Amino acid sequence: MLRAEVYWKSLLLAIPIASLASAPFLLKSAYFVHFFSLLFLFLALASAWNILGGYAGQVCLGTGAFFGIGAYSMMLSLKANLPLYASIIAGGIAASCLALLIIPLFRLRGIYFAIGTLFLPDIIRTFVLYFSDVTGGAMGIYLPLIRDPLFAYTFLLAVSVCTILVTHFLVNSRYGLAMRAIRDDQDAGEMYGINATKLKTMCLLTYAFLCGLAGSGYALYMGFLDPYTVFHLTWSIAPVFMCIIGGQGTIWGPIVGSIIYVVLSEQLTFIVGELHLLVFGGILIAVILLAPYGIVGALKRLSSNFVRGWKACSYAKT
Amino acid sequence: MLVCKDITKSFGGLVALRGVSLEVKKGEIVGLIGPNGSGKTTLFNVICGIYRPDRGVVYFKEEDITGRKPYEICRLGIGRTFQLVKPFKTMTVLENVMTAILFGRSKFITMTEARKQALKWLDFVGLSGMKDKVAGELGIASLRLLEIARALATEPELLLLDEVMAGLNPVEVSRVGDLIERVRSDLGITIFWVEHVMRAIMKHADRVIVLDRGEKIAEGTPKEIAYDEKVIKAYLGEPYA
Amino acid sequence: MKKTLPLIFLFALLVILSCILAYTVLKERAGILLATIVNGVLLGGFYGLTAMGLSLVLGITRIINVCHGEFVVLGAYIGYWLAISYGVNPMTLIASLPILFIVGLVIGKTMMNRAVSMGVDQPLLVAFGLSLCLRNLMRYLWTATPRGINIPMGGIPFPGGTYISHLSLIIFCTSVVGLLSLHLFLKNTFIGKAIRATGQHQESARLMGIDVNNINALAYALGLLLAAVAGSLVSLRFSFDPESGPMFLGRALCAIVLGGVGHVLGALAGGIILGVVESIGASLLGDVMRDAIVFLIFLAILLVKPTGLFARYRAF
Repeated sequence: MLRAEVYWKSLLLAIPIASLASAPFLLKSAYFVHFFSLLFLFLALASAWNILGGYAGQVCLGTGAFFGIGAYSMMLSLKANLPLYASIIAGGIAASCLALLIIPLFRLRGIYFAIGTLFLPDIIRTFVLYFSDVTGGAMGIYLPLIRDPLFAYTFLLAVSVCTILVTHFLVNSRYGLAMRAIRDDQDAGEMYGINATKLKTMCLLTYAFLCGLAGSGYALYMGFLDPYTVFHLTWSIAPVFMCIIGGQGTIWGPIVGSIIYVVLSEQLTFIVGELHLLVFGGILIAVILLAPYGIVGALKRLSSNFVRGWKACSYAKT
Repeated sequence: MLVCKDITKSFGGLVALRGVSLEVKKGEIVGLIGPNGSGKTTLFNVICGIYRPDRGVVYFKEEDITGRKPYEICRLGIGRTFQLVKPFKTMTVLENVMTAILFGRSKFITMTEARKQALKWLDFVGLSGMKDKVAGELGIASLRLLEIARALATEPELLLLDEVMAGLNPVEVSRVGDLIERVRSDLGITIFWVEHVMRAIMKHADRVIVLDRGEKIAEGTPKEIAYDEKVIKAYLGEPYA
Repeated sequence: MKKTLPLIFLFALLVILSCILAYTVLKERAGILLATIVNGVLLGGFYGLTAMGLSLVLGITRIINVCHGEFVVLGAYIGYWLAISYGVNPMTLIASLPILFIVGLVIGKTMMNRAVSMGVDQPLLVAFGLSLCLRNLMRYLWTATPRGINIPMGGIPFPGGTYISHLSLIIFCTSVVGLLSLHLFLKNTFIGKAIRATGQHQESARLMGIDVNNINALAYALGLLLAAVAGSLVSLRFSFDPESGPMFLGRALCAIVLGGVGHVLGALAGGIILGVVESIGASLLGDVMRDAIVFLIFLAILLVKPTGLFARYRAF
């Protein structure tokens, strides 16, 4: 990219980010803070999942484990009197450590990584329940600080912006090429010098760290954690849902997907009440089968088809 | 440059390679021929590290590379094309070659520099016009040129070509044949070449090795091979020997 | 089959020998240990049954049906609901079988076939979505309160003050009978052979005139049928709630990786080993860790030896 382009694009990005950052102070609406905090949380999770699942092609069905371990690690670090920012980072690090244990799963091709991660949230939850004197067990654990929604909001905004920037730089770098190469044909990629396992591990650790940070943000926001909520299946399904609906392997996909998810979760509860998860599942299945590239993906394909058709027409005229 | 000693590989009950020993010297174009199922691609896979041989050693430039990972072997200087082309289908032709440049070499290179070199390689094989096309849309001739460009982009000292002429029409066959000669003469790359299109091998190879059912049955100049009794028997059967 | 049979006998021999050894050495506590092991074996038979549905679907259609656990629970709910409404009798227990079979045919034909044609990830994600739908549906229909049918039945007393319940024995026998009849069905009937052929090589099966799409849907439906059988047994013995799915899925997956994919006896052997290890582990570490033990074993095997102990071929 040219220098001028970089400056211009950064400015374009800085405006919405600055306005979002300052909005709660200007608007003073608790609902605004609540809605957007949730949005940023889910956006961070979706973008992080997108790195591993959308670009590197490794579907992870156990996001709740990394998210939850990040949340609990932050809580426990605070209780151990670590400073705030160190505790937050500790959340990310703990999730990465968990990810390190999963690395041998990359030896298995395809979907076996997915089912290996499927039960991770349940395993971690059992450990949290087992060591209940430390973690509060089923009764939950409270934040030892005064709950500050604005701080949580800003932090979650920072995390989601960070995640998207990481995705952007990763995808446009040499590693982005390597990830797409591995996704298209792993054997060919290895033959041309790409260490597939190292690459997947890199993506996994990045994803885990970011999920751990998101977990810390959640803990900051809620002020309270309990093992059944934090390790629930929803946290594992939500990123999958958001990325598939929005479009895997694109930067805008998770953004679109998370907006749809958060808006739908609120609205559906009004419309169908108890069955909103059923509708979610149904939408997920429908999108997988009928529109596998998601909204952004479909738009990209439509536009490239359109451009090609246009070019073909202009060649025909001459 | 490349020495294989006593390579043996079986898959369950099927013995694909049986004590194969051969040598490829620097600067040669060596052909590898044999009837279907004789183990040619398996041998390539063993050399490249995709399979580990049950027995035997592979030496590259006096160094033992048996059983190393494919990406390590690539960085050591062996490039390879695949029999069934394996392009990165969702990436453009230019990106395909850039990936090979960025990862296939042992030295670090920046993205802008990689892009320049990728254009140079596409020019060398004659694919410049297609640089922005998505690889999944190319025809077989262009895909074969892309395979060669990618392999060359990793700056190998030894290039393994696996049936690179398959599916090409006579015009394309001579074009690729000339390209292979240029690779040897302009770039100084040693070539080890599996092929079924006989006239290409006979025309360009210095030496030919023949495999049949996992064993080496003959070795010599193209002329010697064409009249060798064992080779004729392997391909055409007993009555013609 | 020839390879596994001696292994199963060997294993059973080892279990019996260790029981005798334990009994003679420990006399008092041996009774409890023995009871734990026997209960583990009986439990394992049930796990083998749960695993078999999943293994059939995986082996034939190559789909990892992660909603299998939810279908087992659905079968349990149907059995429970009918039993509450009409009393416990053989009819109400068997009713869930045809229901889930038909549901399986529908899902298989409409969703799974299409998902399989789209790639490797898609069927898994569709099954994942289905599990979410089923959980929510069951929660809506029957609320989150744990359910179970209580049938008072006697038991065989064991030294040490414990006993082996008759129900456990009945469930074990039902599992073994179910597995044997499945094995006979697959081996001897025409459709069984068609299913095996499709599982081994789809292209060749197609060339032989087998309608692969229908057979895949049938295999999926059979998998759900077996889940329904397991579900009926679940309603009698365990308490369950809409979130119980992963419990059964985990045990099924674990039994499969222990015993090898597509192997009827392998699933049974894997289930038995799992049952014994889980029972002993639970008596040592506490009941809370029951699920974690199963999931950890599953993860450990995936990480260390994914081909399983008795695998005939490398499915992973």
